[in-house]
Amino acid sequence: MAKGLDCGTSFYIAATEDTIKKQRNAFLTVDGEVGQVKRMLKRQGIPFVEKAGKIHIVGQHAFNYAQIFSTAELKRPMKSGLLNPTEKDALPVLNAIIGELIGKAKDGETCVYCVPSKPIDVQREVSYHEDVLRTIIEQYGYSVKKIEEAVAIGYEGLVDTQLTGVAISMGAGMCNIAVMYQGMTALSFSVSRGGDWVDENVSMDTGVSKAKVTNIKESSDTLDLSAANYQNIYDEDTDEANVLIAIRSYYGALVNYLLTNLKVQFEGVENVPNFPNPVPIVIGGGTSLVKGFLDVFNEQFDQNEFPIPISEIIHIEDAHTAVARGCLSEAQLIEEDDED
Amino acid sequence: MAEQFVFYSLFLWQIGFIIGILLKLFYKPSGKKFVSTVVSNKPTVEVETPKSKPSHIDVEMKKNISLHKAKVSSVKSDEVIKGKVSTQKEKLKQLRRG
Repeated sequence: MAKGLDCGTSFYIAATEDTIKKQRNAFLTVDGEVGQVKRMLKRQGIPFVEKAGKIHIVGQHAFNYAQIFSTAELKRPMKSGLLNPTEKDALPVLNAIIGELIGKAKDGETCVYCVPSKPIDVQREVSYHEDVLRTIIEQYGYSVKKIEEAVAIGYEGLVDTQLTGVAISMGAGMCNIAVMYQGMTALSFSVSRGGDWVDENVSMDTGVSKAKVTNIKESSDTLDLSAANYQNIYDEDTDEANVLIAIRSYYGALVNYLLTNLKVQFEGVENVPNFPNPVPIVIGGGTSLVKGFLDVFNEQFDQNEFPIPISEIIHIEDAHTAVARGCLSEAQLIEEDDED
Repeated sequence: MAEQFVFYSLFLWQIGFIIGILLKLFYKPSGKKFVSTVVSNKPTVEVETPKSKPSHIDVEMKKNISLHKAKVSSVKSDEVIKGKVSTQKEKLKQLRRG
């Protein structure tokens, strides 16, 4: 059975034809005597990883702990879309997360995973990140192939326009962009700003911890960035209202940064195709899940400044799992081709 | 006295003649020529030697990735959604096969 794996900074998501599994990509190291800590975690059914005499709580439980105990440091195996170079315990945790999500392969199954495009605003290569993930997935017996994250979005959102248009994946660590023409990638790149960048800046400006900002962003019922709702928030003078105003502000800045860099990249590349007819922009990824996101995007988008004629801006259905589903489609087609 | 002079003279002539034949038969000149050198007082001239610029060669990186497996792992997925997963596979297949 083919599998698609979205290796995101905030979430790892695996898709098969009948299941989607999500795992928060975070962990927290627990101090104390190893045996005692293990017994306590087992009793409470909290998932953990033991490595080199250290116990790490993994996933959503770690995230929840970090919000309750403000002194607890939530660790991230990945940062800005790539392996976190400062996190020494990242690889065993990643290995355990991937193992749980995809399991062991039966009869040479295919697993397609996503990789970021080369970032334009930081000096980092993506090769090592790709190789580590490939090695981990291969270890579970899969035939492994990679595709670019934004292309995976294109496979889900640009099929009605013959895979022609602009695909944007807005993740926690980075935003990936691909300009596609007839299934070919004319231009692809990433910027190292995403949901984490919004959270960090909101946290600095409002004095609320980053974990709490993330939580408000992901689960607040009152968070709605749409223009009509936004006006009402101004009247309030609460901590949450301050956070919401800051979140909206930084979302605007993030989209502006993305569109400006897309324009600059597009104008700087030779042999880019001419688009005689308007094409859609399709957006997916966890950072685009916030209510009213399209309003913010439309506010920042200016057709007169944009180098490609745009027909519509679409928020892809089930944006959080779109990358994993795009990877799954590719894996299924590879397996069908192999059978033929 | 005159007889002795003639005898020795002929004897020396014969030896010289034989040596001449032997040299002609067996002596091979080395080809070296001794030419008198002339020391020039002109100053040396610096000549720029052509330097070929080596083009770069791409070398595949030797991947030596250690997997760092955990000793114990009890990780369970945070969220599992069961049910048919909707994808655009069929449309993609049609596009690829024209």
